[in-house]
Amino acid sequence: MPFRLLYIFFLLLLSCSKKEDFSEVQVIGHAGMGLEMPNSIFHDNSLEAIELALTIPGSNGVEIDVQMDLNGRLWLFHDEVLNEETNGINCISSNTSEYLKTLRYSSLKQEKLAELSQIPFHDFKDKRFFLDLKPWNKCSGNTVSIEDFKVALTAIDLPENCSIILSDPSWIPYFKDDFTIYFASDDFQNAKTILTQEAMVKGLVIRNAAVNMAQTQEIIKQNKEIYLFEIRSPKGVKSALTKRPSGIISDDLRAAISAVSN
Amino acid sequence: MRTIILVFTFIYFNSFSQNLETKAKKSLNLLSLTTSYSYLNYELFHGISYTHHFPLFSASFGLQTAVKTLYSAQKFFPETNSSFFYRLIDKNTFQFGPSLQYNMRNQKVKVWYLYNELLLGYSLFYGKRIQFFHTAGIGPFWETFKTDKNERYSIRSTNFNLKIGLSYAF
Repeated sequence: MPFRLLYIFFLLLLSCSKKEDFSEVQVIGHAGMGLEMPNSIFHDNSLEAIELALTIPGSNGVEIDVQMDLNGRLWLFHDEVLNEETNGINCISSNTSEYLKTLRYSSLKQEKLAELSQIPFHDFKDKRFFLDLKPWNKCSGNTVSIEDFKVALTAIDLPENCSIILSDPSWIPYFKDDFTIYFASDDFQNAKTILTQEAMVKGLVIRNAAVNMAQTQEIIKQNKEIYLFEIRSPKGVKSALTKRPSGIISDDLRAAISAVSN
Repeated sequence: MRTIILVFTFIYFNSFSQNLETKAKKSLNLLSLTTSYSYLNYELFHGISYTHHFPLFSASFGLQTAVKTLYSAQKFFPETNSSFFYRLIDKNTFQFGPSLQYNMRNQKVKVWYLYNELLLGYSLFYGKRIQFFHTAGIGPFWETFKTDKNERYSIRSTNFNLKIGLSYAF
């Protein structure tokens, strides 16, 4: 008898849960299937992770990290230095293309370091690509040349569904005529000012914990988009979805798709 | 190597799951109802499993219904699993030895996903009717699904699994 009661109680719990519709929220994979996820099949920013993230039904695209090497070629890599995650040393910006081509991630599958030009953009015309430009060279203590970065990006012939994310407002004027730009910041008030001043900036990319629902809706009312990132747990997915942003950049893509497509 | 240790540590401290071996009692075949929770994948399992004990090893087969308990994504899906456990150390209330597990599940998240995994590792059990158990395994993992373009997509990977939990046998 107690078991039956427990079973009925469990069924009641399940049936009482309220289901909300989040289908209007876009789900974007952070660096592929998620950044530094211990249960991820592939390493973040690897070609394999990106292709899987774009292939999974329910995914709307990927956000990837872009850095430039000494020869002006663009590589997908998140960290400031290569030492911890790969078999290489120093920074992307302080190494040559020839050297970087030999590197592999220190993961189980030992994926090769990927170049931006290797992404099959045209095979995924219905997906969105967010390129997070990382100009900082920790090894030299300087940022790379903005002109060179733009030349390298332009040379790749990026499709229209490709946008760039800038965290330095001084870079916006260089890119706004040729690219769709999103501004990234953790300071909501500062970001709001930038969005107001720069009409060409399409939206904001901000940490989930840095905004509340009212602030999120404030951006949307300005006819701008807002994407939330650093979403690593069910609690994070719940928190982000209830703010009703334009999209979430999730570190657990499967969990986010599951929550949105319910 | 660091990642491997991190994966093991993370799963170890966060995972509760199904006891595939149920009981390692000599010459006693057991049918059991089980409930378990996998924190890592946010899955709650209910099921039935049967364990047959041979002189040196135990074989189990289980059928389960799991529910993904992630917020706003409560989806049911079936899983079957089978395992072989060689009782290298077999005391009255303690068993330990190598084990081989095979798990297969279907899960629908927009489309149907088919997961297969084969895990070679070890298992240990402590207790009588109510048992504490711990299993660990490593092995190949296959994921198959159909893309938006209706093309079959398959990934093969290596998977780790560590479980701790409690079981009750009838």
